[in-house]
Amino acid sequence: MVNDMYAHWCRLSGRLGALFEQRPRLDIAARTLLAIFGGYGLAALTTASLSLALPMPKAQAVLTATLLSFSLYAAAVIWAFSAASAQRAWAVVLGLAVLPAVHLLLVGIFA
Amino acid sequence: MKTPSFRQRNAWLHTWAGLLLGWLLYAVFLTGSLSYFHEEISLWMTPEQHGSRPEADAPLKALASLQRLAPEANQWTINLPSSRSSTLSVQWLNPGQAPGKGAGQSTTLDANSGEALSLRDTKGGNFLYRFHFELTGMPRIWGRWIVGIAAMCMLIALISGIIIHKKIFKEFFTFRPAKEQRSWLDAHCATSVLALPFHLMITYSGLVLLMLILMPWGVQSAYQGNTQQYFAESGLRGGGPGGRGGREGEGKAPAPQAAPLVDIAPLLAQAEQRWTRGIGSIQISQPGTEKAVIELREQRGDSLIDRAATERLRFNGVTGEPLKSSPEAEINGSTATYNVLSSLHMLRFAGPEVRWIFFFSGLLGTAMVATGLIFWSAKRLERDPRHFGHRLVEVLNVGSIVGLPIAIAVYFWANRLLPVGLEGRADVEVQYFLIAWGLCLLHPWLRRYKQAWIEQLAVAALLFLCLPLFNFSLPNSHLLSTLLHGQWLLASTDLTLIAFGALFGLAAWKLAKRRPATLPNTQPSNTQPQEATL
Repeated sequence: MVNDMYAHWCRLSGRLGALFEQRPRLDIAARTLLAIFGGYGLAALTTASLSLALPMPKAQAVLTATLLSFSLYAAAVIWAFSAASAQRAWAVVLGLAVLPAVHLLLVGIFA
Repeated sequence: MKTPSFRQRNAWLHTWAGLLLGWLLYAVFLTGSLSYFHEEISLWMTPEQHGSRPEADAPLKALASLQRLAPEANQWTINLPSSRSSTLSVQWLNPGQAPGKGAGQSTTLDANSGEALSLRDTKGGNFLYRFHFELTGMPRIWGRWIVGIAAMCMLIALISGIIIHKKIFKEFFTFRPAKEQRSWLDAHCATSVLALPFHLMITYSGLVLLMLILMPWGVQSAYQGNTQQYFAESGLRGGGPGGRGGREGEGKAPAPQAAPLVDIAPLLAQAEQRWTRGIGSIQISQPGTEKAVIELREQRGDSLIDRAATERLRFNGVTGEPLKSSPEAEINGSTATYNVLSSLHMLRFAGPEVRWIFFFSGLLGTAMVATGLIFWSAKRLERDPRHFGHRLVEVLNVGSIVGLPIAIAVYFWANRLLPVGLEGRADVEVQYFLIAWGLCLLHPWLRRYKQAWIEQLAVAALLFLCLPLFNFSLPNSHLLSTLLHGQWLLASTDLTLIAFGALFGLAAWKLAKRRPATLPNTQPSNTQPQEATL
């Protein structure tokens, strides 16, 4: 099952890579979209999740998470343009967003 | 086609993150730098205050005036002259008025005579201060969002700029003057690297100050968006001046008996001895009654971590006996971080030396943005043929890099020239600022690039140099008077205006003298690198 998924990702990545190589503008567009919206989404999800999860008084957790959020956003933007390929940049940011997203979903369900 | 390298992609990111909102960033940096002196600018813009030169007995004069102006008031507040102001500002609450920020009546008193001054209606330095994070002419929240997005672009441009700058140390010492775009690049790098820690700090702390607008999701998830509750628990607000004032709210209690106020001179002497910074303000609640309480507050502090919290001393207003002061809230790690960042940004703690250093660092940031924008247009011209986008960048360059200073000068001139009694005077001043800026953005469309630079620089030089001259028509505001009386706040404002005017004049003169070096058919930015220090 995991192997299947990995093989699927490799095929998709290869196809996307070929597309981006032919059309550099598309590559830039994919990275820019990821940087602006993906970066903000990742920062927002992580801030919301850490505000609940950090082991300190609630107000402190919120402040700590929010202070960190801008570094995270900036790091995501730089990553979006530094990754070897656009599809890889997307995969990593989406992957990082899974944990806080699941956490918030669980909190939402059991709240 | 070969895919671009890591560094090339970051160069692309640096260029566009910097260019798209570059003119806005320039305006934010420039007005923000001026905001370090916004109180001084406000003082300069109200010449009615300039005759007030405080002496030691100023608090007693203020008290005497309040007894005359508002004998029935429930609460008096006196803000004493400080290193940044030379007048007394007093507020009072009449019976039935709720305490709070901006509540009640207030007036400014001459510190020598204790007489109320009637100041001209102006927004003063506060307009520039608010402009640098809220812009103007739009709902505040939009302005804050736009500036917040620009600040994020700035942070990205800084980081990607560091990444693409391979030999950050070696190239810092490289300057190739009079080499067209190479010089602009060197100037851009020098202004960036010279104050890089400042640029990073000011950008990040700016984002942090806007954090609940830009990144409300932590409060959203942990407090279901209840910002008030968050503030109450975190103690981020309410620690500032005025936040804890006016605790005594008992309106229903039987009217207290009349009793004379104790002589406050000994209490003031006691506080002066205790606080090296001196007394900042005096608050007297229920004056003239047996329940009177006198609270003395220390002059603004200089510690980064506690957000310049000040000590208070409270006294019984009839007997003069000391009362217990309320304890200060404890400060923990992330609150300390927040306080350091916000105090650094707003410079709540600093004396004049640090204020000047930050002002010049801010100007370096302004120059960094300006040289970056000029470099873009110089480099593009070499690579691409002219097209509309390029022309647009040129026009915006002239219209903001020189146009904004012209608009600020016009704002100052409007402050001096508009009739004092004019209806809505403060807003008219702002309108002049906007009209002037608008004209400066139109003018480069009609002129050749170099011509536009020279003309606007010359206008800016003239406007700035003549302002201190005009002050000679006012009795207490001109340089001879202010220097003679040691009123350094006013004198240094005038001297700074002269310095700005001289710089603009020098740039205009250098540019006019210069012949196009290589490209006879075009008029690229053949400007001298000296201009970068604008």
